[in-house]
Amino acid sequence: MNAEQVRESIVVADCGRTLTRATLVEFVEGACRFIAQGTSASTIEPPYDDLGVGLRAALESLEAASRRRFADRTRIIIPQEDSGDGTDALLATVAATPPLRVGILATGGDGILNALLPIVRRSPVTALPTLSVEPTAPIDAATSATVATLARLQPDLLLIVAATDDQRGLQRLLGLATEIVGTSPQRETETPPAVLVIASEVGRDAATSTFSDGYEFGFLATNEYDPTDIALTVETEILELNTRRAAATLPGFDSLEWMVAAPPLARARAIDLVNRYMALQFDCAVVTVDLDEGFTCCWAHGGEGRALSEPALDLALGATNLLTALPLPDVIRWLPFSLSEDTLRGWILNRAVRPFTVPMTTRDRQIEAALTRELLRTGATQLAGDGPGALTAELLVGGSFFARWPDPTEPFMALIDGLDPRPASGIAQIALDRDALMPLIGALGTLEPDRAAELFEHDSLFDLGACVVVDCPANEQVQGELVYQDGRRRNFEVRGGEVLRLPLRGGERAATLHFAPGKRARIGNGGAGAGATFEGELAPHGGPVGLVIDARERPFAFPRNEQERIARVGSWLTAFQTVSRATGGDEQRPGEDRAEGTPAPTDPA
Amino acid sequence: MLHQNPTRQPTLVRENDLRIERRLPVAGEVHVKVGERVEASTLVATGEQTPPATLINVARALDIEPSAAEGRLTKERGQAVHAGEVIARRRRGLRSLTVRSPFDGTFVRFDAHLGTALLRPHATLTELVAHVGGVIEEVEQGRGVTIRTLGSRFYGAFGVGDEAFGVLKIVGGDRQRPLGPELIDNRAARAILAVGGTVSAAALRKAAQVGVRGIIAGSIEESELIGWLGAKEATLWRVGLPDWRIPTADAPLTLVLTEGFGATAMAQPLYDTLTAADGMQGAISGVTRLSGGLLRPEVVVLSRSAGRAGEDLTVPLAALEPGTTVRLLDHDHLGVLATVAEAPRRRRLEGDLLLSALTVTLANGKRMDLPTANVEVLV
Repeated sequence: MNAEQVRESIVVADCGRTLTRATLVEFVEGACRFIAQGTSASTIEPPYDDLGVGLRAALESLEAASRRRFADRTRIIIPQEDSGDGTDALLATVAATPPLRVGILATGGDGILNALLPIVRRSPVTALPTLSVEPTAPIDAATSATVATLARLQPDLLLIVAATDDQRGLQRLLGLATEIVGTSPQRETETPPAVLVIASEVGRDAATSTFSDGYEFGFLATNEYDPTDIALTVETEILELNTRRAAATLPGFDSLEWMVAAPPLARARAIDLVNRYMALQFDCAVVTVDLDEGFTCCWAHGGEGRALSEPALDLALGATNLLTALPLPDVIRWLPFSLSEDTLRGWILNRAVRPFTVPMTTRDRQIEAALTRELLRTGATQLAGDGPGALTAELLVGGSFFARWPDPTEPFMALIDGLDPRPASGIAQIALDRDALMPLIGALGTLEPDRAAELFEHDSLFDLGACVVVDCPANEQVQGELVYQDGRRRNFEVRGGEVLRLPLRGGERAATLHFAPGKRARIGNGGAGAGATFEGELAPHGGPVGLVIDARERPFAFPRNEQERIARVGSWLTAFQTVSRATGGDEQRPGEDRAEGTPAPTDPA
Repeated sequence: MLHQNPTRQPTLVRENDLRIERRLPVAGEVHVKVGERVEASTLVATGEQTPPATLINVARALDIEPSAAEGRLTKERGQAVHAGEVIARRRRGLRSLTVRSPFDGTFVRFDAHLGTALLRPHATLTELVAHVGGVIEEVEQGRGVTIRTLGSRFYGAFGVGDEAFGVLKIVGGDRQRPLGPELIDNRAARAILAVGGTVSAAALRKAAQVGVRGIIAGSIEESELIGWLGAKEATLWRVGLPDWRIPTADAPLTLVLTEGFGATAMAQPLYDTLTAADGMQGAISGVTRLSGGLLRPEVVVLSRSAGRAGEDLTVPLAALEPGTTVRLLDHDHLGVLATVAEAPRRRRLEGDLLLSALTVTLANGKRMDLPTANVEVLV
């Protein structure tokens, strides 16, 4: 296809370690739309040892779903034929590549290090311990231990940052680096590590003579670039190295590279791109999290964005890492039943050795949801730690992982409890990427940005509902009124510590949501007792969960007594799962105006 | 497609013609010929493996500038070094600072720029034994052999330790019975013990003490495993994705768990297979790798019979067809066996969940719809 031709039909493959998806998007009635999706288990491990086998199976599944052919016996049909078979382009996102292990050795130059750390954190890599040393101070035991750890973990990429004019600092780092990766590649069969030195130009010769023989070596002069440029260059290097390593180590990746119209994009990176787009599009703070193929957590507001990617941490192949990443008592506190720490450890380990399984029972899903909450809390804390204040978000998006829980209140609760958003307005909208379209929209955006925007607008997010976070003392209550578009009115009353779920259908935006002033309750950044009114564009819109008024204590309070804890968590679950018909309020039809100050009658329903 | 096991065969292959591949990790020499009969202990191939060189920072150890360190060396390029032998020395006051070689090997070179010495350990000889008795069917020169034998083979869920072989001994006499130390005595030396229930740390310690080569059990509590390995909880399970594998070097014997963690008893067909082979030669491997080259722990037990004439002994490929016995894998159904009633197809389960699913019939006659990912073909 030449550049003049229009791509009417695009298939995007999302190749993970456990699952491969093939999604068809097409230009329909003036816009790019999601047509169908096929999935298959991935096949990068024995007995298949070929990413292409899983991709082909996913395409077969897509063929069955769309009743069209996309591949013949030997190749993917490109471009689309007159019969409708085939596609005009194939794109790919990849999470199947083993994450790069990146280590940082640094001396001086906090500015560069501070710019680099967020880059490493948001890249699809496993960040190894960062070692900071003084140029002249003696090497202490802790430094030696970290060097030994890094040597044992064998980094794929070593970043050496010597942002000081004192050349002794660079010399010291080069010495430590050679202890970690050796002075020459150790085995011919192994892929040598890459070494990127960021230092003053005067250190170039020393660095080059140490690492130019046999290593992938690069040098960035600190006197030529500012920290931001250096960080962006490092990010590009990481992504390109990731692709090169994938080509070298992932069976079938080179064939995929030949077929795609643009270089395969790391899945976490694609999600981050879409999250940033949403923040600009909706002009609000957005958090997107996913646990499919590693843990990805992105925050963006305006032009600012932060991301966290932990490819070796999830509820599948990375499950054992949960044992060290999370305090298990904090996981157990979210369960509406008693569970010993030993039992939870066994549950996690059994999941790790059977990484493809899908939870089927309520108990299984509740354990999975509890783990998810704590994982989200960890991610949110790390992201918030980079910037001022707590993590604020007006839109929370759960990735495809959250779509596998059948009850929509489960992902809704997990996202609220785990991310604990403190929206400035008081309202957070909750949505799901139910069809796993965010990675493909990110990939599509690199080739066809306008099509990606259309696809996002029409098919991406599935609204679950909205949540108003109310800061209300335990002995007080907040009262309010929800007015629907058809004029119906519903009064409500929520006590501090409680949750109330009100019906608000998908696709419907409330006409007005009003919180009465008085006492000390606080909505968003509003003053104590000031009340709040949301209408027009600011009013919440609904979904299967509806509108939740969440007046639970923050940080979430869990009684020490086990029975009381179970009762409290159980009451939260019940409140989220029960659409209020009567609690503290009623519903009035248009024209049934009640005199001001009249107490709300109890609805017998 | 089925993805739990590293082959396309069912988890359990009973009384069949097995082909056991034995491969050296490095190129070497094969010592047997096609058609030759081998025992489990027969040496079939050898190879020399050169461990990676080690860098020692001499300047730092002697607390001197790199440029000054060369003058303190006691070894030269190309010289042999022995474990513990001094390679550099410096006098500081009344004390003498020394740097010693951590192994037998060769002094490769000294880098005066960095003050580091590169030492290479001697090559180590890798000996590959047959692991199972049988007949050499194929030789791949320089790499290894394929052995043909009649027996049963199944994969476990998790294992610890490398390869082991010995006479299989069933202990406990009951599929549910846990293995405690009281069931192990000196008569179990050099044997592979099999038990249907759980295994405790005390039993594993006793087994190692009397010289048991391996244990096959239903499951284990994680605390018992940690206690036995003497490992630190914080580090044992920290695995990287490129090579999902826990450290096994320190395991005193090989352990294969058919069900995993907790207190689930061994699946009946697996237990029946082991009891039928009680007293026969068995071979096990505890290596578990979930990523970067899928490997499951494996058990092979030799058959009592030589096979019947005319019997089809082709190892079947796993297929989720009606009538196939499957094992349920999600946590709340671990240990449950079922029969496929309806083959997998894409369908909607509870909550509008669209995925590949199948229908199974449980032992009590109840039918259940399950994601295909939640079952494995057992037999």
